[in-house]
Amino acid sequence: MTVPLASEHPILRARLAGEVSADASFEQLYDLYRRPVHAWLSLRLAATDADDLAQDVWTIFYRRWQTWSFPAELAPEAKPVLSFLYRTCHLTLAGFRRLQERDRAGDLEQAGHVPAPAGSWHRDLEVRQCLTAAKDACSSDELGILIGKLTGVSARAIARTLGVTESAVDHGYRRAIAKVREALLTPGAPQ
Amino acid sequence: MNQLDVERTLIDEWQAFVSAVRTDPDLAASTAQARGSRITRPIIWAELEDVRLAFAEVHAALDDESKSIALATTAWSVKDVVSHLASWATEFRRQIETVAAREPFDYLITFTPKVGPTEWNAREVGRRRSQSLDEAFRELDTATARVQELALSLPEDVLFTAAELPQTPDGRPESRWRTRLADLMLMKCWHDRYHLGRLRDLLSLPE
Repeated sequence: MTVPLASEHPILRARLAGEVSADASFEQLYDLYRRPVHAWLSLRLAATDADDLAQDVWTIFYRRWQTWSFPAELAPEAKPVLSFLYRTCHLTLAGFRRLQERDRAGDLEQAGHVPAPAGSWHRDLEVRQCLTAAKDACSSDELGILIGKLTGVSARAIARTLGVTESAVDHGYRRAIAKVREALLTPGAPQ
Repeated sequence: MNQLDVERTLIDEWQAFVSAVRTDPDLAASTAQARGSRITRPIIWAELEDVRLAFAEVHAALDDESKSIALATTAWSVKDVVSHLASWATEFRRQIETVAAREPFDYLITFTPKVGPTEWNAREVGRRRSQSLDEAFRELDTATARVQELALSLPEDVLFTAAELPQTPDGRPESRWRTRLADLMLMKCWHDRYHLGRLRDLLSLPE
């Protein structure tokens, strides 16, 4: 069960046929996927950090899109760009967290909350009951699997990103749902 | 609330969350205008991690020795290509550490335009002939992981200021490349992916 998204296929086909430039098709893909990319990051990061990392993700994609390798045939269910963005979000977030750990370790005396500057595009969003429970109850990988599946990323792409098997992704998804249910039934219970 | 109810509610909430996210409507245009030139530490780390994961997949697919001795180019076997990548990973690491230590280079690598550093490449691959495939992959991964660490730890002025490197197009010291280390790190990823494409094709691995 996933949230339906418009297909990226018409954009890929047009680009492959040379009917649209790399830059114009990049902007079309941005319009198609900017919300899920930002949502993946927003659920796990402070607003300003999510803004910064979204820029990083789209910069990586822009560079790669210039030399994108188009397969001879595109399966109807394939979403190579969505899969790429999901993987890139995961890796960029991992890099960001490493950087944060380094900064924290080397700069403890300046630790503390930095308020978001005015004018940031994103404000903290209301995360509703089930998603809040998922954030609290699931491990980082389980949350990654959950939001990937909810967005329509294939189990194969999620598995490659996380370095696990496809069956581990399916199992992780079921476990995440079960944890959310448990958290809703017994709020405050340890997971 | 059963599992199915939870799943349905999650889908509804996720959809609402995605719809409520506010994004910069001009980001695509500004990224394209800048030709994707904005480089940050998380970008470099992520790109290096991406190639490390891809190499791990290739390594896992080379489960039979016959696959590693197959020709990957007109002159090099699959193992030679891995040795070539390991030699450059080590060389990139050395160059970055040398610049970071503000030490001079006492050697040159002649990098003939459109041809590349053929002599250097052949010598370095030759030096690794006695290495096993696993050792070559280990050298490649260890050096790449070190470059990742440096991407996070180098001072801003070292990472993002152009430095003089040993590569030269004509063998003359005065023609040496001047490149930011941040760009050199991404150049390594580009080079890795160039060869990864061929290796993945040979091993029938998906993109």
